[in-house]
Amino acid sequence: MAFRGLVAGSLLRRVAASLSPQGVAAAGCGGSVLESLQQQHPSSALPACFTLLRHFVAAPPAGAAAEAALAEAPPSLEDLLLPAIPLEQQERQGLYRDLIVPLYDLSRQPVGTVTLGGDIFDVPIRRDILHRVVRWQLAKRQQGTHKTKTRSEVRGGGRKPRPQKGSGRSRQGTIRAPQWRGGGVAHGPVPRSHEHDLPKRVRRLGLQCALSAKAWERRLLVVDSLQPAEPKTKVMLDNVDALLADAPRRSVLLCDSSKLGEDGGEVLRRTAANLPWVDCIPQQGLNVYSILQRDYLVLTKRAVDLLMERLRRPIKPCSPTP
Amino acid sequence: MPARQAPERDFIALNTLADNPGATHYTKRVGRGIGSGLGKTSGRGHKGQKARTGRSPRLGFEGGQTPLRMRVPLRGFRNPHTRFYRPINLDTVQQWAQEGRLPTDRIITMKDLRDSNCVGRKMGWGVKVLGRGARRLATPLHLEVSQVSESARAAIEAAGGSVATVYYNKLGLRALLKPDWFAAKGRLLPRPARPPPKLEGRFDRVGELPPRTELPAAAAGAAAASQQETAAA
Repeated sequence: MAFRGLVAGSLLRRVAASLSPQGVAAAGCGGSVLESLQQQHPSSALPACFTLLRHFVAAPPAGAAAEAALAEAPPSLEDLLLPAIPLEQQERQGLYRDLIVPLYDLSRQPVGTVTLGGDIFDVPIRRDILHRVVRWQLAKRQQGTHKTKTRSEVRGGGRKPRPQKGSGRSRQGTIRAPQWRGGGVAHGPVPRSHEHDLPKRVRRLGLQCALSAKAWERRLLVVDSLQPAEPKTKVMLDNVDALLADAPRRSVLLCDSSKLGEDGGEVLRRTAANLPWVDCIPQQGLNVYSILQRDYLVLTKRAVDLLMERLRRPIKPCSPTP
Repeated sequence: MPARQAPERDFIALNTLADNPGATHYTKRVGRGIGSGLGKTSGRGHKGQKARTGRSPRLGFEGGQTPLRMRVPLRGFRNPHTRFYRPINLDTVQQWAQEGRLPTDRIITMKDLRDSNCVGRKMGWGVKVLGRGARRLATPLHLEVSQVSESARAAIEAAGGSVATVYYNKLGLRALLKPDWFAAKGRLLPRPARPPPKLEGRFDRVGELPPRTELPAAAAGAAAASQQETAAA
């Protein structure tokens, strides 16, 4: 029962986040999101959302009690949401629960905390979605330059090799037919694009799943900056080793805010360029394949903020759902 | 004791991904040997027009003989003048109203029903309210629809609501449901049309465009009183 209420709360928050930035702000500053939503969208798709919510929160057997609950003020979001917890206390995955992780500096000294949004870093991990997104990425990047020659493209073969009748052998019209040695290929590969479509919502869910998986596996670190003190690979190596102190292998993806950002940028890319087990990627380019390719994921604080803002932006500006 | 987390063997990596069972549709490969079950004749049987490439004879073709659907005489007819009214039942309307998806402080028009998805997109000539759930109707509803069944009308009025049947022709119904379309085109809303002589007397009144949605005086007073009561309670 309580669990269902939680799920409904997270659902509502996701809807709120997708509907308006003010809704999120209201959620953050403690006001009742439902009220603000009702003020902003009196006649949109929200009634359906309320209905759903009621189904979750109302006691199933007692009809009268449910009626009374309806008459009262709608429950505020704070009552429904699970409070944020530190990441190491997360015992169940996929509850859309906000996670508090320590903020490290590059020498792995904690300098603060960061709250990761539960709708991005604690969604249920779906391997099938990850599989589809990875397949989509790999298919998209496939070059598609494969070609064989057909019977018309193979050199020669214009002449009839032997008379039609009288030789005691089979009828043949050209020495480049597919059954001939040195002949053309029937139904061979031709240059083409292997790209196929994947809905944007699935792609976004895939990224959320990948981030949630790294968080659940405790292989996600948040740092204040990825820019080493000196622009030297040796310094960068020390820093990454410090970050991966308890890791069994050295394999990490570093993600900063942008290629020209203050928290990494050009210096990060140059210093980490010669470390074969380190990948660097700007926040905008973060993707499922790159995340899963490496064991650890290190995000900067600024990248986390931008990422959460980006993943909460509605895919269609006027759509009632994210 | 360390907090519980995923064991390492369950970690997500590129080599542990898989789609759901049954998510992939495999194409049928015909003519690829006995073991496949679709080997020699590729599932097409032996010889004949249907075994060849190209098109097979159309469905119902009997080789040139008069096919069955032409041998049997026609029966019945299709009435071109029939008017379809989208049925909607009272229990649905009540549920929608209780959930706040339909207004109760003014008249519910067919536009409200359509916009709240209480009725679907296929409206025909309007909406007819039927009496399923009439015994459980407790909410006072004020409706303006094309037709209403006797049991539904009795139930609505017994519950303290009101219902009026209004006539809209096709254009008028479109203007009722999508007035924005006319505004976008820079057109005026059409004038309300009277029902044809054949349908005269079947409707309470001619539907207005745009519709008037204030409650009638008596009903408005009752609604205000009930609201005050609830506020006081």
